[in-house]
Amino acid sequence: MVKQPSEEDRVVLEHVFRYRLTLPQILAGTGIFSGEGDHQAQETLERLGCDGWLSSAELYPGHRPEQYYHLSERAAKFLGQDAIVAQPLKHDSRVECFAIATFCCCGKPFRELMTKEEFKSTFAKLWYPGQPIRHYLDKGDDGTVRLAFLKVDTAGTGRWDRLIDSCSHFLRQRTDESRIAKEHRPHAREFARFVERDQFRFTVLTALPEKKRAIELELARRTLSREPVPPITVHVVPELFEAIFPAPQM
Amino acid sequence: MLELTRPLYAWNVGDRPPSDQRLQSIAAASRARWNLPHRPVEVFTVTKRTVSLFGAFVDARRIKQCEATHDLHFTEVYLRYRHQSPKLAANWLGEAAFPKLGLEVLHMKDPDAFVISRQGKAQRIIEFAGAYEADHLQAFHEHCAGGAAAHLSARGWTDSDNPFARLYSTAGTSYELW
Repeated sequence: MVKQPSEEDRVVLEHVFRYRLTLPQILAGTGIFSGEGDHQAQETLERLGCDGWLSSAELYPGHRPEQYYHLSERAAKFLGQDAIVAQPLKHDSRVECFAIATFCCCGKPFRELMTKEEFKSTFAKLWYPGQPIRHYLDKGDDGTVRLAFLKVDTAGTGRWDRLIDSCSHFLRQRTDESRIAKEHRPHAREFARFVERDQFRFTVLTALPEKKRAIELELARRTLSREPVPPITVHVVPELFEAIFPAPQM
Repeated sequence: MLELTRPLYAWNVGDRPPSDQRLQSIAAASRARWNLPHRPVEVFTVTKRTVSLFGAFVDARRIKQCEATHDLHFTEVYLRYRHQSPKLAANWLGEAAFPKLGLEVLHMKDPDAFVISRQGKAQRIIEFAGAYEADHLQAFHEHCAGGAAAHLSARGWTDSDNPFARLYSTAGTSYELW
């Protein structure tokens, strides 16, 4: 007979579903456990793994051994989700999910990534099918809360400033009605108003402070040159460096 | 490789500008050093991915031999700073850490490196004067001695929130030519 998860276990499984993966230090950052969070997070993840609710996979395959946890098929079913969320993540998704989970759960303040269902119910006027949901509510330095979309900078081989252009492209794709199916145009109009009212931002996660500085300087240059500038805030997630360039196995 | 032990010339804010004669002698010294025998040296350069990782405002193309010679010697200047003035070296920002202002602002130059204060102001400009002519040295002096701030101001870039305007002082910025 399969042991059913406790209420606290369910919260942990929902956390893993929300971020697609977790590690002890990420789970500990959520505040689900009080006091000795790291130790309790480690124990809970190991136990849920033994009980078949979580599976584990290599975070840096072929490099330093470190496991991450993702939902098992049984856990996906228990949460009423599709089995696809119980698959180990491919390289790009793994790096991106790790960076997002680290930023949201290990940073100050804690940020809760929205699930698709949460986004649909909170921003019903903005949602239409086929969009990536990587949003959270960002409280700016001025106290204003904005809808933020997370982009992870994985330092590809293309021109790095295209990251800024890709944000502009994202906005055009979702606000230019000529690019949008007729039935979704009311959502696009609503999103355009949202952007105009400064209620939307991109949060770019990058590995190095040098890159943060470069992106901010390029944004300043474009602003001064009166070029279109998408609303972007940049954060450094140092752990992202090793996710992109894992250290060799010792 | 040349052994670079000290700058060919250093100018500090408040100093008199270099005379024509002095500029001629610096130019002659910068050219004369390349008359010594030379040999090929293997160098390592970054890939496009590293450029992307750091957000460098340069591309990772195959550089010309004269550019490689320049960059290699400028690296030597940086290593000398690291060895002799680690605090200044910690605030060193190379040309690749800035957008090319020469493409944005008329008559603007893009020096090889800056030593930057916490407030984002250039405390010192460092340039490797490969084999510069006297008129090039004169133009570089004018750039550092208030010209850069004037060009930015003419473009309307004077706001203290503007990171490029903040870089240069209207009174000029000290510089070293290596």
